[in-house]
Amino acid sequence: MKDIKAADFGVGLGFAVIGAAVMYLAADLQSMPRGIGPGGYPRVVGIMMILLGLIQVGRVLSAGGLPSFAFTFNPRPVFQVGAALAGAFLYVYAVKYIGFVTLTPFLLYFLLMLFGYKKYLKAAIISISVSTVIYLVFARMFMIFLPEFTLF
Amino acid sequence: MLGNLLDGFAAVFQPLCFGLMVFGVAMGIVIGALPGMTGSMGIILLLPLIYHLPSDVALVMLCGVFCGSMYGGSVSAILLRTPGTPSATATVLDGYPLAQKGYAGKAIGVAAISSFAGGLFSTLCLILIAPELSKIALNFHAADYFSLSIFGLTIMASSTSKNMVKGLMAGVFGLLVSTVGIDPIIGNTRFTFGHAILMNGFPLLPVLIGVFAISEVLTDFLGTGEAGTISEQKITRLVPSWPEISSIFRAIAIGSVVGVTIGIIPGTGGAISCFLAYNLAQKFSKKPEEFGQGSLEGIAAPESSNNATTGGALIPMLTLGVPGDVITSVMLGALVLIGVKPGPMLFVENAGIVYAIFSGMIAIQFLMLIFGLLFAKVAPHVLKVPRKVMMPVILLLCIVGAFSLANQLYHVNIALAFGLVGLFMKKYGYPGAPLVLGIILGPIAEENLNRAILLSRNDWTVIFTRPISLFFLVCSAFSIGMAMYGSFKEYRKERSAGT
Repeated sequence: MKDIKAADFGVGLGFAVIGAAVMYLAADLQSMPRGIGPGGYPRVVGIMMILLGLIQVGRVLSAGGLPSFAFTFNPRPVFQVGAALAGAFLYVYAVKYIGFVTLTPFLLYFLLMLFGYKKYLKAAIISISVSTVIYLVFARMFMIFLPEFTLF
Repeated sequence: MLGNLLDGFAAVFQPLCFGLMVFGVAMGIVIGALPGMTGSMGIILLLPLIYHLPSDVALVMLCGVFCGSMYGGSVSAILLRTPGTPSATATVLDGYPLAQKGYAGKAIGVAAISSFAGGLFSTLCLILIAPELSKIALNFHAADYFSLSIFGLTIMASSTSKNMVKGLMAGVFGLLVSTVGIDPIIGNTRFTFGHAILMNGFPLLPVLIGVFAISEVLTDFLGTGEAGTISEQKITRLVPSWPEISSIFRAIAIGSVVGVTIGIIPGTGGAISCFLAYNLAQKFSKKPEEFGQGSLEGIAAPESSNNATTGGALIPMLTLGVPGDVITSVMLGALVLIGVKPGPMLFVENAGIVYAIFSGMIAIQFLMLIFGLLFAKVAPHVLKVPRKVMMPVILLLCIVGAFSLANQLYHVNIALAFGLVGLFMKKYGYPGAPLVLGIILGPIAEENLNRAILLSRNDWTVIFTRPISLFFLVCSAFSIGMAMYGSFKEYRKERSAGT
C-alpha cells in the first residue's frame, strides 16, 4: 500500500512536470492565424497533464501526508522481468544475423526455463516445434519475411 | 438491408472467410477457457496477420475470437471454479456446484445454448439499431466529434479503474503519445527530438501488443497463481433435455436484454452485465432458492448476458467509433490498423464490410454452439496446459507479431517498452484500455478540434454551443462526477471504518 502511495505521488508529480515540458515545447511549434495549429492540441494535452498530476499529488497528500519511499524490494520478480526483457532485446538485435529459425528455439528455451519449466527435454522439444510452426505459419503461409541466417 | 445481408452471407461463406471464421471461433473458445488469457489478448495475437487478409475476412475472424472467448470463459468457470474471463465470473456461482454434483456436461451444454441465444439476440439488435444510429450520427459536426472523443475517453477512464484520476491519466498519456510524429494539421514534425524514426509516431499495433499482451506475460512473474484443480470427471450428456431447456427460457430472455442494454453503454461490458442478469434472473425465478446450488437458470442468465454484450458493444464502436469495453477498444484498433475508419461514414463508405460483420456475427453464433459443445469434450486436457509453457510461447508470438508489422526491429522495441509501461500501470492500478483509446482517439480529436475552430473563425465556444457537442460534454462531466462521487463515498466509508 505504501509502495502504491509513493508510486502515485511520483507518477502525479512526474505527470505534472511532463505536462509543463509539453507546454514549453509546444510553444516553439508554428502557430496559425486560424485554427489551433500544430502546437494548440499538445498545449491542451499539457494543461490536462498538469491538472491531473496535481490532483493526483493532492489526493495522496490529503490521504495522509507525504508518503515514505520505503519500497519493499523483492529481487526475484525484478530479476525475472529484467532477464525476460534483456533476452528479448538481445534476441531482437541478434536475430538479423543469426536468423529466425536458428535463434528462436534458444529464446523460447530460455523463456521456458525463466518461467520455471523444469522438464528440460520436453522444453527443448516444445522450443523447436513451436518455433518451426511459427516460422511455417508466418513465413510460408502468410509470406511474412522473417530474418534468415546471413554471413554478411 | 436484406439484400446487403445476403451479400454479407455470400462473402462470409467464401472458403477463406469461413475457414478463418471457424479458426477465430475455435481460438476464441480456447483462449477464453484458459484462465488469465482474455479475448483481447487473442485478438492482439492475430493482429499481425490481418494485414495480409481482406478487411471483411479479418474483421469476421476477430469477431469470431471476440464471441468465442465470451463463451470459452464459462468452461473453466464450470470445470476449474476459475472464470477464464471476467465476464464468466457469475457463471462460477452455479456452474461449479453443478459440476461437483457430476453434471459438468449439462452445465457446459446450458452455457453453450444460453451463449448462442444471447449472442444471436444481440446480433439482431446490432443489425436493427446500428444503421439507424449511424444515420443520426451522420449529422455530427466537427465539434460534436471532438466532444464525442472526449466522452469516449472519460467513460472508458471512469469504468476501467476504481480511481477515476488514474483512468484519466492513462487516457491523457495516450493522447500525449499520439502527438508524437507528423502533426495532422500542416505536416510539421512534433516531439521527435531529431530522430527520423519517430516521425511516424508510435505505431498502434506494437503499443497494443505491449500494453495488453506483453504486460500480461510479465505480470506472471509478479506472482499470478496457477488455476484451481480441474474437476476430474468424464464430460457426458452435453445437450440438456427439453424440460430443462424450457426451464431456462426466462433466464435467457432476461440475460439477453440486460446484456444488450449494458453492452450498448460505452465503457461497460460482460463483467457487469453477468452479475446484473444473475440477480434479476434470481428475482424473477420460480425457484430462487436453487441459485448458488447448481441452478441451470443461474448458468443461463449470466452466459446469455455476457454473450449479448458482444453485439451491444459493437453498436457504439461501429457507429460512433466509441468502444463498449476493453475488447472492443482493441477491435477499434484493428479497424484503424486495416485502414477502416469507424463512425457513421463506415456505413456509407464500407457498407460491404459492415454487412459482412453482421452476417458473420450470425454465422459465428451457430459455430460457437457447435464448437462450444465439441470443445467441452477436450476442455479438461486443454486446461491442463501449464501457464509456464503458455506464457513464454505468447511472449514469443508477441515479438514475432510486432516484428512482422513492417519487418522492423524498432517495432519490437516499442512493444517491449510499452510492455514495461503496461506492467507498471497494471501493478499500480492504471488501466491500459484508456491509454490505447487515447492513442486511437488523439488524432481524431485533434483534427476535429482544428476543423471546428477553423469553421467557427477561431471561436472556441463552438464546442459548448452546438447541442450535440454540449450533450456529449455534459455526459462526460456526468460520468466523471459519478466516478468522483463513488470514490468519495468509498473514501468516507474507509475513514469511518478507520475511526
